[in-house]
Amino acid sequence: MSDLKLQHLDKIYDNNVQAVFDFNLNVKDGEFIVLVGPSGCGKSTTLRMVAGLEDISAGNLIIDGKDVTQMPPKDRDIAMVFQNYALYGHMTVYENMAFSLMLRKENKNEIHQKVLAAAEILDLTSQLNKKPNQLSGGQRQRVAMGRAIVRTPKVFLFDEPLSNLDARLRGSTRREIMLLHKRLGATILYVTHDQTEALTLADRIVCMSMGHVQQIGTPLELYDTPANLFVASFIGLPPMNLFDAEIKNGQAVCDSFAVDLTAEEKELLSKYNGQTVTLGVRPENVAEGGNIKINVFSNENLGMNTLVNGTAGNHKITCKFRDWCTYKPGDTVNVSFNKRHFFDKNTTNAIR
Amino acid sequence: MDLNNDAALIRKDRLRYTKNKMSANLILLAIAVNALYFVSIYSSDVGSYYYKIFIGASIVYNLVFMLTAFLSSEGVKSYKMGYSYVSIILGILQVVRIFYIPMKAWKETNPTADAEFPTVMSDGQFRYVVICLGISAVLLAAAGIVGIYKTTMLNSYQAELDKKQEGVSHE
Repeated sequence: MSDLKLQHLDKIYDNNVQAVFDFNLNVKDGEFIVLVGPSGCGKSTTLRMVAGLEDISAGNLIIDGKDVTQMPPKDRDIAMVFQNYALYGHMTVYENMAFSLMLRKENKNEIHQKVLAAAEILDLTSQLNKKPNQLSGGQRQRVAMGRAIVRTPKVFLFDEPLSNLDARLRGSTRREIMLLHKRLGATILYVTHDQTEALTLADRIVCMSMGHVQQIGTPLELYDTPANLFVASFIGLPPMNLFDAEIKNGQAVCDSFAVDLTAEEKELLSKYNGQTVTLGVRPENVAEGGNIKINVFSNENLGMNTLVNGTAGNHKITCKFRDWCTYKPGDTVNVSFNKRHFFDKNTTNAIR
Repeated sequence: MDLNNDAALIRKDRLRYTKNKMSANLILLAIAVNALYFVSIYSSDVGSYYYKIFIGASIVYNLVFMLTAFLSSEGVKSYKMGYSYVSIILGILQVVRIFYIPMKAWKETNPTADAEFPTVMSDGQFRYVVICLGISAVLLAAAGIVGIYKTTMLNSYQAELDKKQEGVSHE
């Protein structure tokens, strides 16, 4: 395994559309990096540039201290796992896993040992003689991972590997990927639009939008201290509640309610006195009881908690209560905000 | 499973997951060589001379041969012992065939007065078809022998594994 450096990467297509802008990232040996963002944000393009499937328009890609920017994909020693598995339908699981090594003309006995070892890691030993169409989606994805593992590449690339799986299988395969990473200590670059995958798998997350990196940090950093409005609204489910609020008299005043600021927040927002900022509150940070009155319009019980959607004046608010609630449309509930985030209205950056 | 880097053991274990492509390919090659044989026969005067039930039977045999050989190629690929024997039998039959059309036509005097060669089959063509049949016979026999060897090896190894597995489950 090895480290990976993406230095000032740009991707400009022939039609002059720029998909990636000045992408910088240093991936440490054995680190699990997740690129997350909405569709079209450039995360898959970045991954494909690392794989060598897309030309790099500008910048450098360095793997293990070696500049591989102009190197063809086969010489980069990288293994990629695709969303659609890309398995050979006429080959057995064993043959699929052994194929890349056979192409390299490696010793057959060594290939055999590598395939068996990978199959054992992925719990595929009993499936080795089956063809892909006899396997479930999760097993097929494991075969695709096995094909990557046997090569013992420097870097593993995963391009939305769980997107084709149903919710339950996605959860279990996600845990398998996590265990696999621990077991192999592999350097992994993983692309997803699913923030649950990003938060649970990543050592660090790269959040992207419109080809730009919005924030790089640990899952907790992105959740707890989002760098800007985009990250704040993208990370977290349901998304963060956002309100325009004027800072005056030690309060953040919205249309229909006002929030008393703590001493720390007052100091933080001292420059914004008399100005409008964006106040962000995560649904899980809305607590029952307080002086903000919400008119409930829906109550969704999720088992462990309840999502209560309502309005406070013109503002829609989503609350995530821990209890099993039975509010009916038209009910009124008083709430307070436990933890608040503030963003500059003009730059959309977090106020820190 | 722990193979302890034992090359012989790994070779045996590999059989469990790989097909016997060698035998299968040898048989396919034998079919191709046999095609050279019958193309030579049917495109020459020999075909015209035997234009009766004998040549009809030869055509039918060639079709049956190709079908059976193809089936045995698929069979040996999956380590089915029976098809290895079928392959050897087909090889023996290829040798026997030398003594029918090629040998007879080679010995038969050419009925055409101004013919290029004195016999129905020229010496050169005789050598050519005998070599074709001989090569396909050798290929079929080799495929069968390799098939028997690998299948026996796989079966005994599998029995060994099953025995071990039984031992583990009894414990």
